[in-house]
Amino acid sequence: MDPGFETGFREFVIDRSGALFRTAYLLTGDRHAAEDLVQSALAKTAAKWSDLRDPEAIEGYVRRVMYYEQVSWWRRRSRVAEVSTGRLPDRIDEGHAEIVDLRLVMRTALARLTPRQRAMLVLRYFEDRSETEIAQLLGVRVGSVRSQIYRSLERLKQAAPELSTVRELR
Amino acid sequence: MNIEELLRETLSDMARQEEPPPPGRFLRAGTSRSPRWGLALAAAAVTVMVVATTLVVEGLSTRRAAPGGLTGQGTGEWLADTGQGRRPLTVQEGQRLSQILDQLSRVTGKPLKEFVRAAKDGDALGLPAYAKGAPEGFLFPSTYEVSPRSGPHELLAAMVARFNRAAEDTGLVEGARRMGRTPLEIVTVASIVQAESARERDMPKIARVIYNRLDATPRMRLQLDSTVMYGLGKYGARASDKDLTSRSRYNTYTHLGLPPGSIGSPGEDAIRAALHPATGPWLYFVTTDPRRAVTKFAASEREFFELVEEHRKNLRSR
Repeated sequence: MDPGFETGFREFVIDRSGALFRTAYLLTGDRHAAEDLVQSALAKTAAKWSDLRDPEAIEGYVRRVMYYEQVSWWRRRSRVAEVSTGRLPDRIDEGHAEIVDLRLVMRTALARLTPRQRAMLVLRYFEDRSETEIAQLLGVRVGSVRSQIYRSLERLKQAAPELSTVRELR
Repeated sequence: MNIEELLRETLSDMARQEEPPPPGRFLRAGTSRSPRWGLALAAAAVTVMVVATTLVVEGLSTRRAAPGGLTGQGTGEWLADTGQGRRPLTVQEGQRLSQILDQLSRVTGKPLKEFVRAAKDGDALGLPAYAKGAPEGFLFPSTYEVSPRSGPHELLAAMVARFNRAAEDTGLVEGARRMGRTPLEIVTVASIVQAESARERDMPKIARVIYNRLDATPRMRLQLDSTVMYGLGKYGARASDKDLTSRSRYNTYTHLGLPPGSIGSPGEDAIRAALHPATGPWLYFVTTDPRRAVTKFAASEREFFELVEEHRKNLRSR
């Protein structure tokens, strides 16, 4: 194995595993599944190490593996089903008028999307990638990305009728 | 505000609130080790060794601070208000006291030492008497809404109050009496069950393994890596051989019986499992297929080694 591999790989993991984990968590919605996804992507990257020279190429590769694995059918089937708790927040300061926490509602709604839909939303709204980039990363047509994102947003709105009150709460 | 903005904020909140594991978690290998039982949750820890058998990393997390990127910088401004300055804060099942205090400090923007001090004041937190003043295990996992006016005591007390409610819901004190154990022992078992279970439905069986080991004649040590790692303040599913020689009271490879207290906050499922363990003769468990989070149980050493072999085969076939 490349003698520089161990140091290089270690440095990369120390620097980037946190950020990779956070994306994996958004993709999976589950801590253990996220660790598993990062671990698996890192293992595949380690195997390709000698082909990947600069840090950007490495990170790009890990992320592509993560997105791809998350949306491929065989992986999705084997993944532990996401637990959507749906529990209401325990209020600490009871004195205030009750305010629906829209972010918690959104999380629950996100958990009901398919892994592919969810991945598209994460790429679009968390990583700010263009529809063309998303299409390339996931190996689908641009039109499909566009329509899936539109449909997912509609589903989020439906799943969370509270969203219509956003304006008043703000 | 429209749905796209809300989604952006939600995703960025989620990413920031979920603390990444220390990088060492992704670098562990340890192929030279003799097989041990208690491989549950080794799922994340074992993949790298397939391609890089030489990586063995000790104490990596202390070498450098957590990676930058999205990490909140302590002022708390990264968590947008949910209204009137409220912020959601989620305590995950299995989180340790130290992690919860860190998180509280980050979300509120108040110094960590204020929370550390408040956590020492057991009486003011409303801890049950059997906790003996130590809050570890008694800050209940749930999502809390934090108002800017909530002080450290108030926040911790709310989490303890939530625990007390769960204790009532599960019949903890009566259940402990029925089992001939103290409530603190039950919470401690629940915290270990929480740490060792890959899936919720394994919890009652894992609780059974713990009780069977405690009650075995001659007595058996628990030999659980999760307690050793807790005693050392480390994270990760597997303890190294050096870790196993630690003198901590939480080292269940060297000490008989339960550790002196909890190793994290158990959720309600884990508490119920500790109170209502499954019936069976098992003394060992192994996550035979980390990919599918499949944990199998064994009553004899011979069966245990068969499971370890199955675990190896599953790793190789990946």
